[in-house]
Amino acid sequence: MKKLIVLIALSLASVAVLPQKYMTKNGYIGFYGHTPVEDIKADNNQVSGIIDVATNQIVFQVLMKSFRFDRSLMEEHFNENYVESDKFPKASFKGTVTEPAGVDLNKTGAYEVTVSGDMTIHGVTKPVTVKGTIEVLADAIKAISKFNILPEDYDISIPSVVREKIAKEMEVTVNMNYAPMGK
Amino acid sequence: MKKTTRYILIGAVTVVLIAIIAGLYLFNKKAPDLAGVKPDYVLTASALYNDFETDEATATQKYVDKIIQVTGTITVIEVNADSTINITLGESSMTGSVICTMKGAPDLAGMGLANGSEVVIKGICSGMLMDVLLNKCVIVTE
Repeated sequence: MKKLIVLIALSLASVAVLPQKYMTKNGYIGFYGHTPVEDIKADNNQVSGIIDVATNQIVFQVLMKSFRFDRSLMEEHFNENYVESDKFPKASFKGTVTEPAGVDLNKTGAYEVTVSGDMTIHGVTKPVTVKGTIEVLADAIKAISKFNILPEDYDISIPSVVREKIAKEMEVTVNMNYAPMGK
Repeated sequence: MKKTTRYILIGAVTVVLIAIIAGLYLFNKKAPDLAGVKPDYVLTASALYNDFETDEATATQKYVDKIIQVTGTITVIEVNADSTINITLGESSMTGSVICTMKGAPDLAGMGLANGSEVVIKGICSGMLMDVLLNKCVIVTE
């Protein structure tokens, strides 16, 4: 009986020492598109995200209306005409670290990773694979990634009149700073 | 050239010029600074959160894109990746919180604000994710 109690206490202690999940509510996702006519840039500092170091799963969620543009007209067009924020208020990503295979995110260090999963924007879900860096610190995890997406892939139609002014590809920047959950 | 034709021409040119200036103004219009703008709703952070928790759809209709002024206690201050600041407002009675992304990085210490301080913040509501989110926020001091 005593042994059992010790065992339970030990297993509880190990759970307390090694958090399985790290989370953030102030992650950053921004996007940028460049054409000779116009630059489009938006920032969102209200990204919720969880990284599970036991399963190497990564989840993000954002409100489209939290993306902020420099010009109010651009923000209005983005929400009303392109991503239709009232109909599709959220975008999300759910994926797994596939490379390096079986990487142990409990160990401190910086890892060049590949993450594969499903991205949902504008109500359309597409498989995506992106590269990034995950840095495991003693009491935090940082994740950074940069990749391109095509609005057309998510059924975001851009009228031909303004097609010239909006870049074909948007460069997406992700910058997350996770803290252990339950702290 | 006849006098009337000249007047019509000057008139037409003026109209076109005004249209161009107005167009450029609208095109380049910056996102509004909320500092001097009257809020649509004034309430506590917990009342705002409760409205979303009780009925998210109705609260979304009511508050999203509106200017909200909330009073609450600061529980977390975070510096974001682009060096703006997020201030989280909460009460022990709330299961979630109201997260306010500030316009830029206000000098909170200079205003005597830290965790536990009561603060009044004005921002535009984006809706609810896990918490109610406000953007372009400014601290109200009066």
